[in-house]
Amino acid sequence: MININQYPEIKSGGKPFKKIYVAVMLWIVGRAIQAASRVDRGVKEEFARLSDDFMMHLHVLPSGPGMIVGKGKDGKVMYMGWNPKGKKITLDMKIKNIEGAMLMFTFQESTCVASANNRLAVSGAVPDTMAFVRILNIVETYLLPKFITSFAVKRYPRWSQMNPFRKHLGRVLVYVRTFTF
Amino acid sequence: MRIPEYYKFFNKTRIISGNRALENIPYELQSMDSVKPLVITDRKTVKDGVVKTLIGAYGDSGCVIGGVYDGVTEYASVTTVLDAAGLYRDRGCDSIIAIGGENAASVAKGVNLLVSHRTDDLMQFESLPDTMNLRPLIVIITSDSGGRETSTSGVIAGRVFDSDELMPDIAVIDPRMLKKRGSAETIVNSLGAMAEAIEACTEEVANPMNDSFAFAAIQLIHENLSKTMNGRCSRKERLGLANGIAISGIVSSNAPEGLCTALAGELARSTGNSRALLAAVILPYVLEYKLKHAKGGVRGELLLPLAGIDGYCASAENDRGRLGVEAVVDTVRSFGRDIPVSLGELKIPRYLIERAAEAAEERFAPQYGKGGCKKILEAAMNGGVVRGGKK
Repeated sequence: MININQYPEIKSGGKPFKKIYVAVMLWIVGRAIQAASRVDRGVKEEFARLSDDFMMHLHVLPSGPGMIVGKGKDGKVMYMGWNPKGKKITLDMKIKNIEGAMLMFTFQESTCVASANNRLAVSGAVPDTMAFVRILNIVETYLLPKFITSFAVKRYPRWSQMNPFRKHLGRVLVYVRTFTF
Repeated sequence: MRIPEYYKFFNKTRIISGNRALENIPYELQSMDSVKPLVITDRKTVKDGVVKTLIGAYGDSGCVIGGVYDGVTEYASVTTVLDAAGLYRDRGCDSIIAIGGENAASVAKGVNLLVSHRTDDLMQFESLPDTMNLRPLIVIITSDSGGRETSTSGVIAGRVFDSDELMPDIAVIDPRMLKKRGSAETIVNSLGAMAEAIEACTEEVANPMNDSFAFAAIQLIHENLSKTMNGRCSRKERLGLANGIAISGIVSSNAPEGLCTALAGELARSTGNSRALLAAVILPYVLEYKLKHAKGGVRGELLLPLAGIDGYCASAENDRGRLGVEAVVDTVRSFGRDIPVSLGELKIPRYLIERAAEAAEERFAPQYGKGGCKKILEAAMNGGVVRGGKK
């Protein structure tokens, strides 16, 4: 018989710094989506096509962090914090682990590449998911400079799709709305 | 492409390959209702830092590793299996992760049989059914892997346990686990895996599903092995090689044992040499004999994974079999520093060679002709050309 004490149980450690980084990024992205839905025509149209009770929960397994974005009673898009308790989630996007989230939020992998690499699990309608990924791409274009955004999105919008005036004005408005009210 | 009247192809293993693939293990285990795995490995793998990487990947998952059993040695014994099974039960584990080479995977398969059937008698599994309710088994491919990890069989105390259910549920290939670069062990294991894939697709009863897996395995190993050897290979090349090795296990499970594998297995049992090394030494002689003397020769399609589509299309249809064999021989010979040209260099006594030839003769005489096995082994012993035999 072996002495089982030679082979102790190993409890998983935590990764607090990575969790804090991802939590901050999710807060900024969540607030920025709310801001962009008031500033950008493309984001407005994408949200208009989604159902009135749309509520998306993007979170990291097993214990967060996360963000919830959805439509309020008046139809306005709102960032609703991180706690899903009491909320009716219609689209649940789970990042399978914190390392996958780090790859996404340090822009080493775009959302599309992360999905292809099986880092996301989604419960909900596929068209809603695709719409949300498109919204995320537009928001990232506003939030980040081009050389970083080109890593984070599948295709950086061309001049004809988003002219510099619209981009820079939108960027200022999104930043102001994200960090003020 | 060959399609037989009837064929069966089985693959239970899901391959998860790529950057940070290890971090998906807790999620995958939870999807199989498991939260507490027992890690089975050997001391060498622990020393390489591979287990530490796995434990790091578990960070923030909220899961517990039941224990890291590192008592696997170069011989997978019944005692080792019983010890690991005891640890599994005492710790209340519900799944198994095997890291390392063939022995760690074999012990993990043995433990899985015992804990799933709530017994301590490994010998009760004389013949295994193809359907059993086993605990989740994950295999992590490392630089010591030789392909048998993903197969349906496990060798414990020299006895082969074979069942479709013994295939691991998941094979994880992460570049961080492929630490050793350019070692002789990697060359031997890779060529052994390639030999099994080549044998599987040159068999008479080859089927289109297994062919596609075999061609992928051969191509991945052939393309990436020499690049991996220069010590400054990229992550992509190491991943390619490990994928080829993992796929070869699935291929060999779906094909009958070929002459090269049978001879290598027999000689490995009697001499103690590595089965993969013996397979790599014998393979060129078996293919040359088959090309020149065996009925049906060697399939021309073998050239496709070795020479690529351009080389395949540029060659005449009748020459493809010969060119394929030449490419295999060239590949094996290019690692002459680690793979001997003949069995003589391994100092194997002649009587053991004769005994192995006699054992193989009974099974393979219809395919290779009377005395064919002996001629092949004699040529492999002397490092010469195979002579004689019937076409």
